[in-house]
Amino acid sequence: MPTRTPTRKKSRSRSRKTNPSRQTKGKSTTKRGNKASSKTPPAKTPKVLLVNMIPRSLSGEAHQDSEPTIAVNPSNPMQIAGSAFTPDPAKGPLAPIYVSLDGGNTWTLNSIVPGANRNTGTGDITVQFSKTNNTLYAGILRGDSRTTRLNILRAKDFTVAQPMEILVDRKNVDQPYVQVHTVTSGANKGSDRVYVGNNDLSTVSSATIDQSLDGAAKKPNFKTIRIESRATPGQDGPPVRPSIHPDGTAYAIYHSWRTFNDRTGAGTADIVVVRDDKGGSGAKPFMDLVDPDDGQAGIRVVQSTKFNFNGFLGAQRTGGDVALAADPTNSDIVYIAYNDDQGQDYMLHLLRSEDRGRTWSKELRTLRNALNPALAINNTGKLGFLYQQLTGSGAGQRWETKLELSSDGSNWSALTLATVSSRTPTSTFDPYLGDYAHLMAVDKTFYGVFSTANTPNKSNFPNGVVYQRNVNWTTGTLLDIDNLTPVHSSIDPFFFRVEG
Amino acid sequence: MAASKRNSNPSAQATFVFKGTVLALKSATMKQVPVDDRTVVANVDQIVEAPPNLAKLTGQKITVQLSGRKKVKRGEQMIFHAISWIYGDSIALRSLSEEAVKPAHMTMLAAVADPVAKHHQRVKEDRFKQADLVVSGKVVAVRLPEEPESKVKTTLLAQPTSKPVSEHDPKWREAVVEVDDVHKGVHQKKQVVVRFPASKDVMWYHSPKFQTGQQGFFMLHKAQAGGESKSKSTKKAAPGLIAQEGGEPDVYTAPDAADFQPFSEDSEMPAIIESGIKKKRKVAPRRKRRTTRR
Repeated sequence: MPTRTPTRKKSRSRSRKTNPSRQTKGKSTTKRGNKASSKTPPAKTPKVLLVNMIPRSLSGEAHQDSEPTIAVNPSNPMQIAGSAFTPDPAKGPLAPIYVSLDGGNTWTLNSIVPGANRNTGTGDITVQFSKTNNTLYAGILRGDSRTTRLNILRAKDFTVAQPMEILVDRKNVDQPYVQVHTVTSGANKGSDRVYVGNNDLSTVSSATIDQSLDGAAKKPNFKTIRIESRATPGQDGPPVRPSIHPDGTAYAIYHSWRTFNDRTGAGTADIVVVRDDKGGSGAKPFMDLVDPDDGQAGIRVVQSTKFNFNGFLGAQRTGGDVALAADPTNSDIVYIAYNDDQGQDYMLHLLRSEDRGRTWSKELRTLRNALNPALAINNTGKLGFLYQQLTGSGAGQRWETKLELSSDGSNWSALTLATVSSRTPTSTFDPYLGDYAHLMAVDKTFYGVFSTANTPNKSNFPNGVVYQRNVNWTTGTLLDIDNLTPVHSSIDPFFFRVEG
Repeated sequence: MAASKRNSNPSAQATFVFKGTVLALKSATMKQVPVDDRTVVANVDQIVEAPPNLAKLTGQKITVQLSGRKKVKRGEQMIFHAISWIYGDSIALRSLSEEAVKPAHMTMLAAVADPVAKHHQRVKEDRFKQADLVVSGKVVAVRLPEEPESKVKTTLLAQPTSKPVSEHDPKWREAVVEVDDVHKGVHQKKQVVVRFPASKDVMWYHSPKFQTGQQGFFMLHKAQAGGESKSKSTKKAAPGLIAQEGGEPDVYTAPDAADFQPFSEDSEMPAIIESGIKKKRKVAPRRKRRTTRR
């Protein structure tokens, strides 16, 4: 049994309420019917590239480089930016981003993120490119602040040494998650619409999107939009994840807290999806999806899911993950993933809507003790579903990172990208793997990133892997820059590219 | 050496100082480096100061973007004061300043024993300079902070069920330190309270986690709301954290790993303190130590 160690006594009864009105009646989108599909899907073998992103010159590092994201430049997919909890190797005040100029085959570090702590680097960070003008945007929590201090950043050229420009600086904000849409027609053609989902702890309706309708402007104006429409016990959960369709439709999903006990960390949350058909540019942004049961903005896809903010799955903290992706071929189609506590298990669920979020399918996938869901849909409508799952027990317990692909939500192919011991290395800080991983699609190709143990054993990477850092594959040992001195295993970011 | 040549802007302090030989002009050791007139390839002859990740570069060829203040020649030996740029198969660094090696440098170069230790020493010196109060003493108690009365009322009004929580919650604790000696700043009381984060979150794991019985030097910083270190320009303080505006605060913090230095035989702290006293004569009156160093 995987070790899940919540700090409170948990009920094994399942109190999660799914609203029947949210289900697609008589039109199940899965051939598995009402039963959740938890068996391992049949495997195909798409072309896979997996790269350990730590460069050779940093072969001696043993930092816990967790919580990664990537951004692929849609106008030049050879350019990819990555991020993780990686401090500046020279202990300076700028944290590095990972840079690839060859489609992810090789990676360098470029220290351009302001506000770094010399020991820990930046706080939470996500990155995303403009669709057309090569500008890289980032949402960060500054590492040099003793409060959760949001910066929204911009770099017109992410490969140069110039520190990123600070566009927004605000305190008491958590988990900034940046997405960018570039307007393709009309009077605002070419404008970068920048959306930064975040949990703004200065208000009780804390699920928030900071939005600029012209992020590339000299001094872009950012508007703070509260997307929580219901009473909370003081706040929402940390993840607020916008996803913008190429036609401008803006969706977002968040963990809408209903109850919370700050002594035990236990609570209940609704999984809420909001939508704005004009990308949030109107007078009442993100209010186009109204729940018919209470008349409030935001469909409660699932109600009263259980979570524990102090819970752990192995060495990774839990607390309620959510993810959302809109189908680029049809903005009516949306997939979501979310986690909840069920007894001692941390369950991951995948659902789909085919009517712009109004009604939802039965569960397409249900995975036990899996977290860090990330979703993306390519230009053929194929879904990519990335997650990290704790499997096995005792000394054989492992963290498995998997990518599942499906064109219909019924038939799946699964790739095990990594399967590593959950016991090595030990955790230096929280989060161990990260509170999120990342997946995106450009055209037909899926690009993703996750963090996991870097122990160099080829059986840990069944679909192959490339290490930039020095390694002895025969002995399964990491080596320092001198190619002689052994280096302890640690958590590294791994980039992958899968042809869809 | 590093400190004397450092840019006055603290965000641009050199963290890697080395003696190198310029091998090639307008050249780089990696294809990812944009090359211009200021880009050179240099051999790392001797490292003066380095963080651990850069400590094993001696003998390697790296790329350096020169400061542009001085023309250099191929074959010239220089002291470079550098910060990060690009890390790939090789390393590219940005030099904030560079100077030709002179006979006067030889004594300094000969004295360098451990570049990483030199780096750690500089960090301690910087933390000493930035500290509002430096004391030596012993942790005699660790406790939960008391919630200020005024803050409780505000919380109850604004947030009926609970105060905001975050995975980055510092989980504040207070260490009560019995003061043996005051080395910088003014502190009249026998004890000082140091607020520290017990959290293992990425934002806090590197801060010292105090335990009863710990003895050493505490480089303390005035606290503001939520325990955040208070910059000198910050005047407003959270209720309960700083009792007297402009006076002695009730609570200090020690947010950086270097802010606590345990007593040890080879401690550099006495030298750093002496150096600080020489540089700034205006120090608090020193009291006799009441405990013995271990």
